[in-house]
Amino acid sequence: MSIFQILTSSIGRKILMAITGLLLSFFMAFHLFGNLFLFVGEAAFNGYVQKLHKLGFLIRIAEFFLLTFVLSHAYSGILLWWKNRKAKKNVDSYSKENTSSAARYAAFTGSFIFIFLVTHWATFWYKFNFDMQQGITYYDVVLGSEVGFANPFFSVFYIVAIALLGYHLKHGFSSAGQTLGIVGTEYEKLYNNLSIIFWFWIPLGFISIPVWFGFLVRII
Amino acid sequence: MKDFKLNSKAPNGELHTKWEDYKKTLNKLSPEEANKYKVIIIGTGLAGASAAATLAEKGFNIHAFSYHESPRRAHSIAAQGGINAAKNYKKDGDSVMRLFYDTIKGGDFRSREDNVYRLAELSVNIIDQCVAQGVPFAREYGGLLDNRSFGGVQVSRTFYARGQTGQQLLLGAYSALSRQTNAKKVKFYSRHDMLDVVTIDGKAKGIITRNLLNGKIEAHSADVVILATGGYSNVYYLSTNAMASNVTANWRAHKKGALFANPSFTQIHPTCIPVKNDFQSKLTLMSESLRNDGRVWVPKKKNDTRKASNIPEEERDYYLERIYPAFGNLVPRDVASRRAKEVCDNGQGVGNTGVAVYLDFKKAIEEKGEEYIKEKYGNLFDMYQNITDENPYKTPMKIYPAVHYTMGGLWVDYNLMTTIPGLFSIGESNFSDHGANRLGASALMQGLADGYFVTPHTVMDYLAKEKPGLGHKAEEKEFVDAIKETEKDIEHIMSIKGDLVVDEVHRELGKVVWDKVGMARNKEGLENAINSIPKIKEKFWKNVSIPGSDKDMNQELEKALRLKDFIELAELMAYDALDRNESCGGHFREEYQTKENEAERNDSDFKYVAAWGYNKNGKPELFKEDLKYNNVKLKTRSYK
Amino acid sequence: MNINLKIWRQKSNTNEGKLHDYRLENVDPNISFLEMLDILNNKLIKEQQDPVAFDHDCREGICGSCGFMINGRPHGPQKATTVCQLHMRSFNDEDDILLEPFRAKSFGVIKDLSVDRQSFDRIISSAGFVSVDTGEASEANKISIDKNNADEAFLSAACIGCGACVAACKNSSAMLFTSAKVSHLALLPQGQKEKTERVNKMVATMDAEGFGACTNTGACSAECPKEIGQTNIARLNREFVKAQVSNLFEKK
Repeated sequence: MSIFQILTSSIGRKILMAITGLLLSFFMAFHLFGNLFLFVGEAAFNGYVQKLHKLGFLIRIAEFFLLTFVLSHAYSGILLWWKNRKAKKNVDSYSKENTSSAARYAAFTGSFIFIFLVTHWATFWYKFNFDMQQGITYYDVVLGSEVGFANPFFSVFYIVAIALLGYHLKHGFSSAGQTLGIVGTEYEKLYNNLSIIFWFWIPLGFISIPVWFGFLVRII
Repeated sequence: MKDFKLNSKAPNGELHTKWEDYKKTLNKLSPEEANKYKVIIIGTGLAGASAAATLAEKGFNIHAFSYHESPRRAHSIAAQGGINAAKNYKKDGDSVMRLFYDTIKGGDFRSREDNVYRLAELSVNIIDQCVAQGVPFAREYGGLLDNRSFGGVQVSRTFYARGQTGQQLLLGAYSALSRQTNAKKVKFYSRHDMLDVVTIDGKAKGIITRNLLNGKIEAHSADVVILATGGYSNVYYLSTNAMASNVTANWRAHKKGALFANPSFTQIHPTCIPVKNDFQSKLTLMSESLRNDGRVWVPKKKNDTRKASNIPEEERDYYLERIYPAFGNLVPRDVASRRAKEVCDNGQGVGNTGVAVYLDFKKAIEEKGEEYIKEKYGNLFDMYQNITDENPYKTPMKIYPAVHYTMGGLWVDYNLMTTIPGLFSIGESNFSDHGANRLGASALMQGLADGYFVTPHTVMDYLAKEKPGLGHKAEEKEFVDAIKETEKDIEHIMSIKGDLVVDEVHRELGKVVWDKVGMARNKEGLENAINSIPKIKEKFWKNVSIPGSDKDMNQELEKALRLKDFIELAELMAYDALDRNESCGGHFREEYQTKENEAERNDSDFKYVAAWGYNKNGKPELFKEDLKYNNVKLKTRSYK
Repeated sequence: MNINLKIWRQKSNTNEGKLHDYRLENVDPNISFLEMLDILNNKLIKEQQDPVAFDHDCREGICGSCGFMINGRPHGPQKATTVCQLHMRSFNDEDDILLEPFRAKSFGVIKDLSVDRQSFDRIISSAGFVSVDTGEASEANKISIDKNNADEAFLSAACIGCGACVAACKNSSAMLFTSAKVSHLALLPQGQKEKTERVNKMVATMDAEGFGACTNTGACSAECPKEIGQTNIARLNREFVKAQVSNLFEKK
């Protein structure tokens, strides 16, 4: 099989999805590491963002790759979804009992996450890179009321999106474990334990920020 | 047919080297030459699929037909227990000679020595072949193949794959066949029923089929036709055979001149789940390997309605252990079956119907543990529980004999060719190897020996002497006539529009055959059957009702076409059983039994194969093949 | 017991189908599900109506012929059980029972509840075998196989090819079926020589037959009458990855 054939076979597409998905998950862990500076304090957070900015060109390359991962993940997902619809002849006749709902709703949660990503770029990413006004720090943007967590609608949207992301990753990790053939090997247990970090603890970490800065801080 | 003499064509020479020597004398064809010939194979179970694969490997062009959608659905798949082979892995003194002798003796000295020896010899190669294909046989912890002992023998020579040996062997043969389909050497016709065989100048040159999807009647020509169409147990309506198993292909061949041998030799399997009600559509066999650990018993008292657990040990009759101290619960199938009938007829039967005996695992569970039993028979126990809603780990199983296998079939010579030149018959569809009773785990062995190792040589030899007949076209007169005849039959059946469903007629036929030509037979009953079967036939042709059209999928029409041939076969079975004034193996004539109610064989008058010729106008014509025993001594079977 | 049946009736692949209502009274709970359909069919024939077509043969749960959707589940509500082994005691008096054929693009409806599953045969014939001619085999006990591997291979080989996995799957994926055969042979030494080619060809055929992709919902294993597990799918994927890697190295 040529590389092209591998990538167009149903398993090949899933391998592509698994690998891009895993890489994006690693990035998420890194992203969360940065976000948590918010809890350390304003200076720490702003300093961290500035340090990243100094990397300049490297960051752009990283971003290019991340975007490629997101798009190829989504593209493969859409192609599989389309193939699967055709294979079922568009009939709602399949077994819903004893099956993973996370898997059945993966396409839906994936689509929602994509919408979230676009708003995420249009807000934080765009502001951080191109629209930083005088006297306003990165910290202010994140916790502000314009696009930040001071806006309760925005916080709720963020929390829902990240929760769905966790749900998506729950399926994603078990699916990648199958697709990459980890299930049934000696590494299965280790993999499953590590995957909980990604689909539970990391999303929880993300959610803790709007929950704390958006709501709890005001109440306490 | 007046001067016709049956000739087994078995070569002369020493028994041990006969087949190998004979093979050397057979004509061969190179793959290039073989490529000019077309071979039709009907049925793709163990025998058919293995023959198709092997002949394709040798270069022949195979056209394989099945009424199933896929070869993997053939009824060989349902064989549970195992397959015998004289490997002597257990070093318990087994040998080809011993397997040969056990098979001859188990068949109550009514099978052909040369064929049986060849079968025993080839058993060894079968296991090699199947293992190479990846058949997952059970293994010991050391990694080598495991064996167990199986009904009627005292050595461990049975290879098995849990309770699904037939399935695994069939999937092996099916994969070999699939490989040849992929190589374009086999063309598989799914959902095609064979309705007639076509002969030109006395030789089989093709078949007539009905496409079950659109009802089209088609002619297919070939240089040789191989029937691997299984047995005819469904003549009894209720049997352990699959619903569609039928005799039609064999019966049509019989009507075209192939002799039908020993039709009344049918095997009643002792360990089946008893009939429960009138709607029952089929019977389920529990592998007789269960008798290795299960003990058969009935209450000593007649009409005892107590629950099994309330019957104390001393009031139980472990009748097999009592009558046969040496073999106990492991006596051959025919013996175990007949004894079960005897105790039930005597009023000692158990269950609601009183037509069942217990198969009890209590002792084995106590001695070897539930885990051991579960590992060995788990799936069988689950199956039993699912069907009966009773837990066999807690209460004993109820079992009763049911029709399971037919030793009779088309008469074939040593080459497995019928009396029609160019028409071969292999596996259960022929009569050749099991005499009057088949030993457990020998059916799979025979199907695969015929398919993998015998037919490829003998069919090649036959074809080497034939000009490749690609000139024969399905347009020739013989084919056109045969199509017309088949279409006429179907038209007739469709036009009856009576008030009886096919199954109703079949059930009526089944009852007659079971009562009169079943586990025990007598002159009066058989004459009675010969009288009443034609009436059933008349009823069928006058009253049967087929809904719908014959031009698309019509499962009722399929059943009717099969039943019409079963009815005619049933009559022949009664004639055969009536002719054989002796008891042997599965054929038990009540008039011929010893004081201890054992079968009384009569070697001086009946040491022959009864091969019957079709007679349109009445009584079938009997041809006898005298059986010669040069290597074994005829003995009265004793399992005491 | 009395039951209300809703059965998919379709004359052929080219005709439109629709659901029909039937009522059966005084059904013995101890008969099998297919015997119940036999009774219905006898009744229909007596009333000069077309009986319901459905595939079945061994009625012992091993041939893989039978199978249709009962209330949205292939082979009905009982775990690890084919339709032919299902009994009416699994249902209650006055139950509504919906019968539909297996739905998938690759399984065309032949008539009523009968579908065409020959796409499975084509997957097997693409490479689901060990290439060994009759008579070429060496002595069986020359190959020693670890009992655990042999047992596991057996569990994979227990697949009956009924198609329930495809019907259960929202994507009509044949991954469980294909993976069972790939696993069976991948676990045994006999299957090693051709394993790269085997997995590539079988996956390519599976795709070409129009089956969907696996999204790991697990429905297939949950409904499989022979309880073929999800580890088979993982093994198929692993074999696929290994095959691509070994292909890369072979080229160099």
